[in-house]
Amino acid sequence: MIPILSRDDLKLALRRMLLIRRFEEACIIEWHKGNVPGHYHVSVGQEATAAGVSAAMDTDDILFSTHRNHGHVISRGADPGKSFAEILGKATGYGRGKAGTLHGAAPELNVPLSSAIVAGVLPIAIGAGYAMQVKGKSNVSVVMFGDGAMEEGAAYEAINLASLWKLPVLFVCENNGWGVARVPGQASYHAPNLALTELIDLAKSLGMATTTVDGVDLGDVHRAAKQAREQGVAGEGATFIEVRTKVWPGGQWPELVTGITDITRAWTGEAPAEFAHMVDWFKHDDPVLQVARELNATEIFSRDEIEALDAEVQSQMDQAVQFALESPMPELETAFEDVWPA
Amino acid sequence: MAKVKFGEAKIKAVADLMREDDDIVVVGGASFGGLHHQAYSRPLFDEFDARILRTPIAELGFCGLAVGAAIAGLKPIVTIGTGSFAFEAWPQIVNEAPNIRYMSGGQVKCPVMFHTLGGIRLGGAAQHSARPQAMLMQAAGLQVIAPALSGDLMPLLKGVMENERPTFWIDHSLLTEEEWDDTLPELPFGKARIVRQGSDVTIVGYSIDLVRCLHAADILAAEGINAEVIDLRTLAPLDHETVLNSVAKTGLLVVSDECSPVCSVASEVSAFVAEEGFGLLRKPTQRLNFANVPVPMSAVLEEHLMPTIDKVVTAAKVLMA
Repeated sequence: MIPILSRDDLKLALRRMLLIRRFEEACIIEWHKGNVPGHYHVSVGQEATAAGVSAAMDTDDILFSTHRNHGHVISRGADPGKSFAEILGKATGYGRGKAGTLHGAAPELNVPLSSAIVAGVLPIAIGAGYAMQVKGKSNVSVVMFGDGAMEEGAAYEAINLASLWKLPVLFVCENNGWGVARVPGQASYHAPNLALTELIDLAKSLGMATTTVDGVDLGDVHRAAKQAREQGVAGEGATFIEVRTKVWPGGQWPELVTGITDITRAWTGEAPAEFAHMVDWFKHDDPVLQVARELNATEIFSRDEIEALDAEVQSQMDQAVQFALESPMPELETAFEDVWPA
Repeated sequence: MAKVKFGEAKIKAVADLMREDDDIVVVGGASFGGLHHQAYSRPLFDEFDARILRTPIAELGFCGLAVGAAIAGLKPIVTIGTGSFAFEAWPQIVNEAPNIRYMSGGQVKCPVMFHTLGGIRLGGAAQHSARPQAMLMQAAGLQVIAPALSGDLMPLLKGVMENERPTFWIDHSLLTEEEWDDTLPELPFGKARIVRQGSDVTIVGYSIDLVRCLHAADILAAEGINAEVIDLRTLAPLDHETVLNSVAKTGLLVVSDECSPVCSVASEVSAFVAEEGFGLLRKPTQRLNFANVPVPMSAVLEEHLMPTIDKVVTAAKVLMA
């Protein structure tokens, strides 16, 4: 469904979803060219979560993320050039080349930290919520993480404390059914390393409000996040939101099994022969195509407007990649900076 | 100059800082004193009840909470309890807090301070006697402070609040009843203190070991040996200059440290003196540590393995012989 947002905000949400998709595609393209060091985690197929949650957030709300953070950071308006430069370890990156893909952040946009320990950031996020509570702020702390985080004890302690003290926190669990031990090709509800039947059951048993939403549906995600935010700000406590994403192309890294997204597939429903096996995903499960299709079907935006926006975003991403590739490596002495007092 | 007990000075320093800065909160119900010393911490709880978050037994959760609260504008002081309990929160203390400012290219501050009564408290056995400081010194980006004297509490805590770095305060329950001058000559944060001047042998300690070193110096003085005693005060940063200058004078070095000997605080002092002051040493450095075994409960076994006053005296005499 279409989120209840102004036309401008809808356009912004669509723009950010497109930018996340183009950003992740660029990561994979540049990786195959040998330009991206190490491994990284893309969020193709999860764009509606980041965009839907961010659209529900106030600028002073704080967002924390994990190793799979590119989409989350972009969804809050991060500069894709600085984000891509960080992934390449360049001096112009958000962390001056000290963070990389695992620790994506945009501090000036209240995305201070991504922890690469799957549940490491959950206790930290409730701390930001605690600070907001102590200071009497009408804000929330949002933490986005995967189903794999639920396997770590830190998740239990964070959920318990947030529930106990009614902290203004949104736990947004992106259930992509992956985890680290998934058997390739074997789909499952969530990472098969959990004894939970439903991911929300733990939070529910600890007295926290919970909801499960469709990760393909921008409107569903936005509605849930908005409601959770209102509850948090009202002093009524945290919410655990499980966002279910469908068969998850991002997990096939380093191959981009969905290919480069052609936005016109939203209305043509066609896929080239090499992606014939993905046609159902394009028709039903790709959140980017889905939101484009809905915005067009409801006549909020014309096909031309959406295609023009996509072209604009693609051009922005091309420039971002160029900026990152051309940026200098950090000066060696900067390795000693940004930690101890001078 | 008045004398004040360490346990009392500790609470006064924390309370004075809390009065000056509303952003300072206390997280953790352990207080600063342990079960036997709650009388000292009571005034803090009476005055700042609303700014003390009593936590469940969830060290990982509440240490992480403090890290996040620090990112979001508070200055939490986390009272963990014994040094051993810090291990339950290790991921947050060593793998989150120290990295945050660095990974953000200097943009994100994390002014959190963890406090434990680290050390061998007598009868604590293997799981209530940990000395985590040497391990913590490996967590680059984490300051480690270890005040031993009442008059050093406020300057060190204030230094931490001012430089806004994540910090671990290694405290020791056996310091609580020790009585010292309430003020001391000013020193910059990160500088070691010459607590007793001498010319025959340099004895280095910190926290409870500093107290043992001072008692040892008294015994040595009675036997005509004039020891210079240095309190490291902070372990990260670690002041090389003050120790090297003293060794330049004495040529002999004893280091007393409750940590197990391998990669300990004493190891680090011995190593930098060997590297930067090799020519100054007349004899090999004497390192005194707890033995490289878990801490046994039985008092006679524990005492047998401790770096006691007698052992410091003996080590100094061996060097002087």
